[in-house]
Amino acid sequence: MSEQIIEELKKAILEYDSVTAARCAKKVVEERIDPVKALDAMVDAVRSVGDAFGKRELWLPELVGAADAMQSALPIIEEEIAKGGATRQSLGTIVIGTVQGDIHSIGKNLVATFLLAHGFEVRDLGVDIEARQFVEAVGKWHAKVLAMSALMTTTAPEQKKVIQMLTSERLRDRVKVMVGGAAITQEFAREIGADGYESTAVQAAPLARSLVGK
Amino acid sequence: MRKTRPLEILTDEQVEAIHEGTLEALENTGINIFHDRALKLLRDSGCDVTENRVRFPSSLVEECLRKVPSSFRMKARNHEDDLRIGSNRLHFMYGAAMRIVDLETWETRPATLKELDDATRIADALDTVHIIPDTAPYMELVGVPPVMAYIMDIVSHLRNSTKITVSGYQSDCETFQIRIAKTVGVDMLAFIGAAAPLTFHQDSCEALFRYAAAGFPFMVVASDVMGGTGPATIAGSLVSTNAEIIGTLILIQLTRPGTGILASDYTMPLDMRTGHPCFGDVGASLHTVAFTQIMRKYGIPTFANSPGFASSKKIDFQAAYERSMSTLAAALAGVNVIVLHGSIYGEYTFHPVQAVLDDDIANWVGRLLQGFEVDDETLALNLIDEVGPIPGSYLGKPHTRKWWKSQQFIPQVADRLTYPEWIREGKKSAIEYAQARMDEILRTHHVPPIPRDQDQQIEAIVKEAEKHYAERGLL
Repeated sequence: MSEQIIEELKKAILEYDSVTAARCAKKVVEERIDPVKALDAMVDAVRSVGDAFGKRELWLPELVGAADAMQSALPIIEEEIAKGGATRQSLGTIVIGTVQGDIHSIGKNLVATFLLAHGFEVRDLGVDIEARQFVEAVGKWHAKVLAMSALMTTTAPEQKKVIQMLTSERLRDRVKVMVGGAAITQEFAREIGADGYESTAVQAAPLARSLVGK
Repeated sequence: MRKTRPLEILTDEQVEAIHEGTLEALENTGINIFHDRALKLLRDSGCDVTENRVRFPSSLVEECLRKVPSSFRMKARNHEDDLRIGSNRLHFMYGAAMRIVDLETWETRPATLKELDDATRIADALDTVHIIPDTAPYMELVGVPPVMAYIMDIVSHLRNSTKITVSGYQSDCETFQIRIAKTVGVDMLAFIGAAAPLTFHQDSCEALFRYAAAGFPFMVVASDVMGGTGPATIAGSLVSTNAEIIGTLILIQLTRPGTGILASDYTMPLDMRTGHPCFGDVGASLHTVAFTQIMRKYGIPTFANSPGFASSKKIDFQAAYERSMSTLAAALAGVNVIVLHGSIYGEYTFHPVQAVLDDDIANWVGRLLQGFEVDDETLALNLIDEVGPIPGSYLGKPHTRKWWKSQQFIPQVADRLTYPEWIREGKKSAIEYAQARMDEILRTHHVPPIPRDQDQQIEAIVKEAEKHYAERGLL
């Protein structure tokens, strides 16, 4: 019975069906099925869509559809895990957002999806995020990694500002910082003291893993 | 001047359906606007304003559409460079980018201020360039803080060309740019864009009011990425870009009725592998062709904002077909402005050699639009009768001497040598000829300087801007 519900949950994600995914998540809770198993199944499903995307068998709409379906189910499962006192097995929490003054989100959303698919816990702050908000989120979520996106030369300097604020708030050595976006280069990332940079969303997950040593 | 009938791909009924959809989107969905003065103005004009969501009554939409002139005039530094934008005229805009590209390695780097000035001077020399965009052609400039880049671009345009420049906005830079333009006594084309989907931010509204107060006409840009920030369908995207552009022009017409509007289409499909816009895609051309037909019905001049931006990273075969096919499609549809010269990959890289090559594309397309005369002289019936069958020849005839040149177009840098000549000349391609032409322009082209006192005032405004940004920690 529990296998069946988990299979349905997985299927919902593979069919980009947010409504069914949420419904299955509620059933997991009602039938007292191990929520960690459910979480693993969801991550597996998104991962397989991510792999197919990498092989050019599926495209962005499918990747985002699968991620959206998982996001409908995730809060329900996470709450259940927390209630049970267990901690979610994850590679760590990553706080991600697009910097202040910048509203570009597609790349950031892609990165968030890949990080999710690789087993990170992802806190996506959204777009146009002030430096202070990034720093507060890193503290609040005990983030292992901070990922920032900037798509314009005029907003890229914000990434430096955030790193400086992490230092002044004595959080810099507790978190790895990775940066990206069309306006960012390896050179710029080095200059501002970031720990990592990649030029495509697909490479973000391996980068994040190397930053947390996994 | 286009003498041919425009290409129309929509039926009247389809145009009507898209118009109706636009009215519905504006009246039912509305636009989020984050500016108190704009919200008040729209509320006072009869819009339904709930928090930041503004819903526009159809009567207001249609009233404001009627206020838009079908063409508008712009005053340049040199009277010969004044423009009337709209009706059957096609003008070209120079490319915009961030960095210069190396023609050997295809790697990019920030440009120097000298390279910026040189690129502007080339824009001035090319006959097919009429307008220079705000971010042209480099936004990453050595020794220039990003916040000053717009201002330095505009200053370079005014000093190194007598042609019209576009002026953008960001971190209040438009306040300085307006003063600089007023010092020289020229009009600028104000760039204003909605953020898709359906959102006007604080800074774009603020810039709108500033430019309206300055009395400049506007280039109102909709830049949906289809499947991302706009519907994946072209028809749906036409509705959302219409709504974004018309919402903007309503604010402009309510602020300063009769202001010139250039409706700009920067819509492209989303590349579903990379998440980038699909530069050079036929989907963008389909959108632009239909967009132009719709705007023609409204009597609003149009700008094809995507042809000059290609997916190729090099000056090569792909770049050539991406740019020329999209330019041709837009021109045949009857757009009034096309951005073309010099940008290479998207709005990322630029090189003046590309601009020189594009001058030939622009002339080729322009020549096509001019059509040809059909009358007794050009039908040449008497001549046909006189020359008769073989061995008759037209080559020595006065009619041929008079007419041949206007019935073809001799490109400036294309290779048209015979094969043996081509071998003898070193097997050169258009790119090499373009490089030679670029060098010659830089060596010989002279731009009348701005009067000394005006130039000094410009310097003072630039210094003021630097101080302004330094005080805000933005330098």
